[in-house]
Amino acid sequence: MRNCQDTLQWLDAYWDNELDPVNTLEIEQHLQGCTACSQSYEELRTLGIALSDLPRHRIPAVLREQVRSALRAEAGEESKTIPFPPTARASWPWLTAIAAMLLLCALLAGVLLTSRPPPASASERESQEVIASHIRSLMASHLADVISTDEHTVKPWFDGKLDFSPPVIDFAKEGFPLIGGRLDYLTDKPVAAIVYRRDKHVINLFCRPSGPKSPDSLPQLVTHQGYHVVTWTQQGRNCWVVSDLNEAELQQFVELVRRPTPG
Amino acid sequence: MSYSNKLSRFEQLILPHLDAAYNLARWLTNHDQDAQDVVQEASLRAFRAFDTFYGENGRAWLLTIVRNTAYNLLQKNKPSRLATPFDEELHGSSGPVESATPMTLLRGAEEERNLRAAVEELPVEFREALILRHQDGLSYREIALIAGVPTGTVMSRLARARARLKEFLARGIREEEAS
Repeated sequence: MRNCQDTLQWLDAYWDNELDPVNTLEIEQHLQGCTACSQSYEELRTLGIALSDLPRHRIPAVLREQVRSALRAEAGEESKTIPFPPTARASWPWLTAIAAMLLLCALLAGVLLTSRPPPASASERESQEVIASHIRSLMASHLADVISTDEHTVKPWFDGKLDFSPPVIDFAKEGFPLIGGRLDYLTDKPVAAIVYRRDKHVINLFCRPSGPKSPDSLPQLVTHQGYHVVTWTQQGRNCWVVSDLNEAELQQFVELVRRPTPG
Repeated sequence: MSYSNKLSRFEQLILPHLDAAYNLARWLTNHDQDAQDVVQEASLRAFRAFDTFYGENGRAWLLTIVRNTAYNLLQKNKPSRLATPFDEELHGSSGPVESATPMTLLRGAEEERNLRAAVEELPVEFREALILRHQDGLSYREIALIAGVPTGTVMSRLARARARLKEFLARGIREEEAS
């Protein structure tokens, strides 16, 4: 039969299910007959459950994206720096030379014969990225890092996260309530994403500085995969609006955003 | 293995554990930005070392790298905290510690905050064992592999960490009653 000292010594391992059956049984028997030790065990159990229930630290969505793009960049680097699989040390150098020439011919032929689709234009790639971001944001819990219908909460949230201050205005009166904001990435650069709602439709507004000399441009609409993307440049800012909302209402939203801000 | 293949295998086997990676990094560093740096660096390191991974346990593998990266960072940032190697015997008696006051525990947001604060106060070796055990559900053996110590050490670290938490929380309750 175990004594208390001996039982307490192994109590943690018992709670963690790390004891063999014989020891487990002995501890169980002791606990049944000993109030002090079962009190200790009860405390341990409560503490263990509380520890398991402590909320996990959640990874910021931005970090997840940064990791992914860093990995893609790294994978790109590796495939560039390793040209061919290492060849066996050639005891017949001429054989290697012939093999290399054959390989070169094959590669050339491959390049010439494969008719490639024309590369997507920069703006097309961009609007596809905007849509991808939008879709990602609709997936569980990625929509907003700061959830608030108050522009005075959302706007300061961006301070210190971006080196520019995005426009955050609630258009609830006009039927486009503000939902929140988050950081996002477009073409590998950070953007402010400001999230609005129109009935059941989510609207993402992306903004970032366009560089000092970019001229203003008027809104342009493109449609891919059932999503509308409207792009323009205004007062040194690039803006993208994306949603599955109908075109007319989306235009209305764009006009609201483009309206000069008072003050 | 082609490189796009390597990337997609990595995304499939390792990236699902990014949440656990961040959680561990955040608990070990007690700091948002440090945790982010650790996760960034650890995932790149993991990717570079991915050829040495044989697909047994992606999570434990990634967590090992995260753990080592976090320790490197802690050593660089706060040499004082890790300068003397952690001494198992020095920290408290080796026997079980009984808390003087029965512990009534833990309901509601405030108790949760207290517990979190208490865990953050523990030495990093204790925190590591607690998080891997309670939040990742790993066995003593798995924790031992990650931390690079014998399983007996994992057991005693866990027991001592919990004893300290009980003590801390009991003290908190006594102070509350006194005031």
